Amino acid sequence: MALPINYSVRNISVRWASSLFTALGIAMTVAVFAGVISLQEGFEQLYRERGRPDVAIYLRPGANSEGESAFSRERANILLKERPEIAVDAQGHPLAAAETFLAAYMEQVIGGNTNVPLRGIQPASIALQGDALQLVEGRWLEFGTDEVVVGQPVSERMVDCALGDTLVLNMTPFKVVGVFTHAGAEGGEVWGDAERMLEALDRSYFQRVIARLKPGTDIETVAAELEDDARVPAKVLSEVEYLAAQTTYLSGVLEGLAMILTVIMGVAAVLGSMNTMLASVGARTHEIGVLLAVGYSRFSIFMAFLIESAFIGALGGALGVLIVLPFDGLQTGLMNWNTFTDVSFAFTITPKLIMTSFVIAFVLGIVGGTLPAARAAALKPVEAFRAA
Amino acid sequence: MRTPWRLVPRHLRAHWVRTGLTAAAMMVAVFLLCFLMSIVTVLEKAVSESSANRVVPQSAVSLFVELPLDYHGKIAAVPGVENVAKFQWFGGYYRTPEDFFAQFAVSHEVFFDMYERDMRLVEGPNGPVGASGLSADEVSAQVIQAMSDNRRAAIVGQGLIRDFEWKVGDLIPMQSVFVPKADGSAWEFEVVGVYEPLKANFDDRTMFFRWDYYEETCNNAGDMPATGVGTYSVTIEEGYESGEVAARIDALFANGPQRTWTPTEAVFQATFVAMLGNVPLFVSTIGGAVAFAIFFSVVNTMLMAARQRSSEAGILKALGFRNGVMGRLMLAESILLSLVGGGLGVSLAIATQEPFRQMLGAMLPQYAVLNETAMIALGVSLLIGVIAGIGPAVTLSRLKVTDALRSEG
Repeated sequence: MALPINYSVRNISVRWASSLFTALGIAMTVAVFAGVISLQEGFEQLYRERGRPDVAIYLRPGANSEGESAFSRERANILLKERPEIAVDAQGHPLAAAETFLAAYMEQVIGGNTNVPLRGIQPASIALQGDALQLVEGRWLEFGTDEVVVGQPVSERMVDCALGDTLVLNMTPFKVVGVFTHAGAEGGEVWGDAERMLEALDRSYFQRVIARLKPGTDIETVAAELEDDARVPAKVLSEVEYLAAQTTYLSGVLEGLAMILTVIMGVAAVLGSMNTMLASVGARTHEIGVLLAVGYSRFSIFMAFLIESAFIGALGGALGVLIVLPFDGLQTGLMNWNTFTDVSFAFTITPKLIMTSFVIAFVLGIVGGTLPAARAAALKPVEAFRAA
Repeated sequence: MRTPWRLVPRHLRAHWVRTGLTAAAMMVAVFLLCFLMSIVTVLEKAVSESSANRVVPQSAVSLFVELPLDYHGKIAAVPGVENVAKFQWFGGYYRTPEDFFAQFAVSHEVFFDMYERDMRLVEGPNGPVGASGLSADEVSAQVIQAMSDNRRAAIVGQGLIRDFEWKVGDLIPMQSVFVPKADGSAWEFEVVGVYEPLKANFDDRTMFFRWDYYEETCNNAGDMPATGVGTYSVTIEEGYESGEVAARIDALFANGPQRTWTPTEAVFQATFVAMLGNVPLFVSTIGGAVAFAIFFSVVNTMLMAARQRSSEAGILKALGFRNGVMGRLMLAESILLSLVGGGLGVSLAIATQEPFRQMLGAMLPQYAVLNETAMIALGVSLLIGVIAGIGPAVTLSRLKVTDALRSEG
C-alpha cells in the first residue's frame, strides 16, 4: 500500500515554518546558481549563433583575438587581393576588408574610464556584416574623412559619443555621424575609416582581415594552406569558430564560479533539509509506528518522507526562480578578458535555465531527505509505538 | 536563582545530530563567505599598497598603444624625475598558453633600485640567502651582476619556481603571442635570480628580463620590429610632489605624437580593478545570499530546539527560575552554535588558503584570508546567532508555566 501524496504535502503545511526556512535555504542556492548562469547566458548570446560559416577571419598565427593579431599593410593587401577563396561583388571587387582594432580608454557618462573597442573599417566591412548591422540614426561615415559611427550602447553610455558630438582620438577630432545597432558584440564598438584611425593613433598594423568566401570553399584547406605560408602566414577561422573563441575566459570563469558556489551552498542546503526532515521524522515516530502496524510497507513510509523532502526542494526551486526572475533583461556590463574590452549585455534567463534550477532544487531536496526517510522506514513498529 | 549556563552545552549535545548538521552547514557557508570577501578585499588591497612615489606614464589613448622609445630621455630630463624604466608586456607562454603568468621586459639597469621596497632577491647564481654564509646583500649583488653579464638573464618570482619547478640556471623557452620570432622559434631566458614580494600588490608569479634583449630580438629575429614602450615607470625625487611631476610629463607630450597619461601607481592599479566593472558588486551580492541562506538554516534549528524546549521551560519556571532564564539559555545556545559553526568555517577558509591561491593562479595571485576578513565573518556568525535566537528566546520567556508543561514538544 502506498501512502497518499497528500500525506506528505500535509506534513509540510503542518510544520510550515521549518519547511519554509529549509526551502529558503535551497532557494538561495538555486538563486545564486541561476543568477550567475543567466549572466553567462547573456554574455554568450552576444557571440554564439551569430557566426556565419561562409565568413572567414584571418589572424596572425598564434593569435586568438584581434588584440593579439597584427598584419603589416603589405601582408593585409596580399590577403585582400590575391586570395582565390574570397568571393567578389557585382563589380568584381573582393568582399574582404582589412580592419584595425584597439581597446581604447573612454569616459563613461556615469564617470570612470572603461575600454571601448575602436574598429577601423574599409568599405566592404559594412556589407560583410549583412542584416545583423542596422543604422538607426544619422548616416554611415564617409571614407577618407575623420568621421565615426558608434554602436547604440556606446552612444548612450560614453561621453562625446552622441550623434553630432566630436570624439577626440589621441590628437585628432572625429565627428560622430551615425548610430548603429548590431546583434553581436560589434554593437558596442566605435567604427571609423581604417586609414584615418591608423593615422590618428600613430599605428601601422591592421589586426584582422574579414572576408566572405566563395560558395563551396573548404575553410580547413585554406587554413592548412596559409598556416605556413612564406609570404603571409595566417590563422584562418570561420566566423563561427572565431566568435566561439572570444568568450572562453569570462564564460569559463562564470561557469566555474556557478559550479563552486552551487556545490558549496548545495552542501549547506542539504545539511539544512536533512535537519528539518530528521525533526519531521522524530516528531512523528509514534505515527510511523501506527502506520507500520496498520500494514503500510516500509517502502511506502520511505517514499512518503522522500516525497515530502522533494516537495520542499521543489518549493525552494520555485522560490529561487522567483528571486532571480526580476533580473531577467537587466542590462549590465563586464570586461571580456579575451578582447580586453567592456561588453554590455543583459541577464538572460532561459526556459532551460529555469528547468535546470528546478532539477537542482529537487535533487537537493531528495538528497537531504534520503537519510531521514530511510531512518523512518527502519523504525521498529513496537518501539515507534512506544514513543511519545 | 542564577541562570544555569551549563545547560547550554548539554542542550547542544543532547541533540548532537541536529547540532552537528547545523554547525556543518554553517561552517560550509561561512567558509564560502570568507572566500568571497577575500576576493574583494584582495582586489582593494592591491590599490592601497601601491607605491606613492612612483608614477606610470603611458598612452592616454589605450592600454595597448605604445609610447615612442625616445620618450625615455625626455621623461628623464623632467625636473623631479629620479629614475625612468621601460616596461613592456611580453605576452608569452611557457609550454602551453594555459600556463599563464606575466612577463615584462624592463630596463634592468635601474629596475632593482626602483623596486627595492617591493621585492627582495632571495636566491642568486651562487645559491639562496643563508646558504654557505651568503647575506641578503651579497645575493642581491650577485643577481644584479648576473643580470648585467648575461643578455638572456631573467629573474622570476617564488611562485613560478614552485609551480614550474624551475631552478636558478635553467633555460626557459617561451613563445610570445605579441612578439613572435619570424622563424617561429622560441625565445630563451635564463633564470639568474628569484625574488620574494614584499608587498601584497607585487605578484610572486612574474618574470622580469632585460629590455635590450627584448628590443634587439624583436628587431633582428622578430616578426615585427620593436616599435615602442608599453609603459614607463618613474620614481620621483625626494622633495617633489608626484602629482606635479606627472602633470609636467603629460604637458610635455600634450601635442603628440602620443599623448600621455601619468597616473600614480595606485591610480593605475585602481583602473585595473575598475575594469572588473561590476565583479565586486556581484561577488558581494552572492555573499549576501550566502549569509541569508545560513541565517535560514540557523533560525530553522533554533525553532526546532524551541519547540522541544517548552516543557523544560515550564519545569524550570516551576522550580522557581525567573521568567527570562529559558530565553537567555536559548539565546546563548543559538550564539554558541553559530560561533562554533562560524569559527570552523573561518578556520577552514584559512587552512585552504594555499590551495585556493594556486587554483585562482594568475587571476588573483595575492589571494589570502586577511585577519579583518576573518573577524568580519565571525561577526556575521555572531549576528546570525543573536537574530536567530531572539525569536524563540522571547517566545519561551513568555510561556505560561501551565501551557509550557502541557505541551509535548
